[in-house]
Amino acid sequence: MIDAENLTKRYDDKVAVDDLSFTVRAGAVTGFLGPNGAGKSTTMRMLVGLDNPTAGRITLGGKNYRTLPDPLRHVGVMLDARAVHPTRSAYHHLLAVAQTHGFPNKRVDLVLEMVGLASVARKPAGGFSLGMSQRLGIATALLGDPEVLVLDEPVNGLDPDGVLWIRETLSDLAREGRTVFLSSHLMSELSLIAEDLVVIGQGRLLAAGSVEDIVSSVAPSTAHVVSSDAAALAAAVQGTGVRVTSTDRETLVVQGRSAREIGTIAAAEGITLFELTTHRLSLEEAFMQITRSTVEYGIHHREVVAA
Amino acid sequence: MTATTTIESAPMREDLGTARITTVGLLRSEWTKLWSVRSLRITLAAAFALIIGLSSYMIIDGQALGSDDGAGDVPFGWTAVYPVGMLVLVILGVLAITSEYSTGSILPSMVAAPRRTGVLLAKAAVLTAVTIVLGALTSVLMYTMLQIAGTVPSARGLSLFDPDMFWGVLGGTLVLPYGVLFGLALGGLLRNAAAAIALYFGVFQLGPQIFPAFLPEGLVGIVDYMPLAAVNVMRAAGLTTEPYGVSVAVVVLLTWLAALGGATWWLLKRRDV
Repeated sequence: MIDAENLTKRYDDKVAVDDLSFTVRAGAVTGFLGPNGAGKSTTMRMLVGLDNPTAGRITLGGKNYRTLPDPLRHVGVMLDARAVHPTRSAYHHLLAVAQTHGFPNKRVDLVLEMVGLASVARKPAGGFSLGMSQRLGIATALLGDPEVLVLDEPVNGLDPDGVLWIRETLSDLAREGRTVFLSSHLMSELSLIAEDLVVIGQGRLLAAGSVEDIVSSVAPSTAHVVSSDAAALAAAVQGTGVRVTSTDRETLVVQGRSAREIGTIAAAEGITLFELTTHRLSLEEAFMQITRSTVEYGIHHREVVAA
Repeated sequence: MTATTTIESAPMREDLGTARITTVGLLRSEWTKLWSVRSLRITLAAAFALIIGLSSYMIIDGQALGSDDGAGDVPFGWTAVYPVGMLVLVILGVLAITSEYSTGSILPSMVAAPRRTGVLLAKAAVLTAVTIVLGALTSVLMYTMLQIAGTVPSARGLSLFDPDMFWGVLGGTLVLPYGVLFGLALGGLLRNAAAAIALYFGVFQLGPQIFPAFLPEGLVGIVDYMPLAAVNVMRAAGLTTEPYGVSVAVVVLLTWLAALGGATWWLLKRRDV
């Protein structure tokens, strides 16, 4: 649905987006993950024609957003929830957007109702809390009833109530079969809603695929074993692709064997286990691992260039 | 505002079936944008309040417009205050576009109409239409007041459509939409209210007085081709042909507008928002 092909954005000497290629599936929720300053917002701005790519392109199934006769019918976007005139009412903000496409006024009332802002519709948007502004941003994105929603950091800075609301709203929208592409610098946040992930760092693609694949590709799960005879167990579980490290006299960390396998081996060897747990890398750790590798790569790269 | 409110119903798909960006839609959108921001309404009101206030004073007082004994008696003399209103309308034009940049509301505007050209043209059309209509009403009102007051000998009993009256009133009134369009072009070019207003006052308002001091002898005439000089010629409606006639003045004014507006449009199309 969304296709980025060798997308590049350069500002003077700074590269914001660097030869980025990825695809966002139609009808799925895709998380766009990266540390702050990774180029997520810039990529989204290029998608909706606000910024021009220096090279490459980002399209909606091959179509350039700027050439669409009815762009709001295809893509709803919230880049900055605070991007409203502070003295204009929420209603008039939405009305001015709706009128460009000739949407009926009752559509404005409807989206205000949908996001729960109907009671403050005539109040100036500048007086809204961040949570209310986010709702207005979502309302703006929903005006054209688009099949694609693009949201930049929709939960950033929200209180728990606001976060919960956004999460539920996005789940509802995804259930209606819409394509949702949302960015965040928090892996844990995206993992609650996204099926797919596009991970970028310093403008480059680091990983893309399903959440599960990405996490398991970063590091396999490890088993934590505490036993009476760690040395004997360490020898018994060895095999190809298995790594055993010991943290103290009784404790082993085994990579490459499941808890079930370790338990079976221990029973066969007659070794008593006090504890056997599987430790899966958390999403946040997986993310750190992915981004750390780019940082290391970056340093390494600089050294090579210097030499 | 509770966390339990969620999307209540699926949006109505059939409702929006054929909706698309249209010229009428962009015009209605810009109309909404203009009237839904208080500072823009106040600026617009201030411009016309100033014109009506100063014109009324001149008409009722009569002295400044040439009394029975004095010379310089011009039937449409009150339009001499219109350039003061024009200054405020320049600011309105500047604010109409720079406020979108300063508040970030340019983002939804450009996302909704990503080709951009239509937004600029619609904004220009709405501001022009509003200032022309209000300007025309103001001029008719002032003409009526002039007839009632009867303080200007040359205007007594003169029809509004008498050539001696009409062209002067028209020239004076057209200064108003010109100001708002000029401001819009400058604001769009610089995308910053303070910079655009400073440029207007520094270069276009004060420039004609300042520049001659710095220009070599042969180039001093250039200031005659700045907008304000041409505005004065147009307002005079043929009473003066210095330094050129009305038709040249109109060409000068339109050239400035086309150059600045064209640059604004070109940059709007190409620059990142």
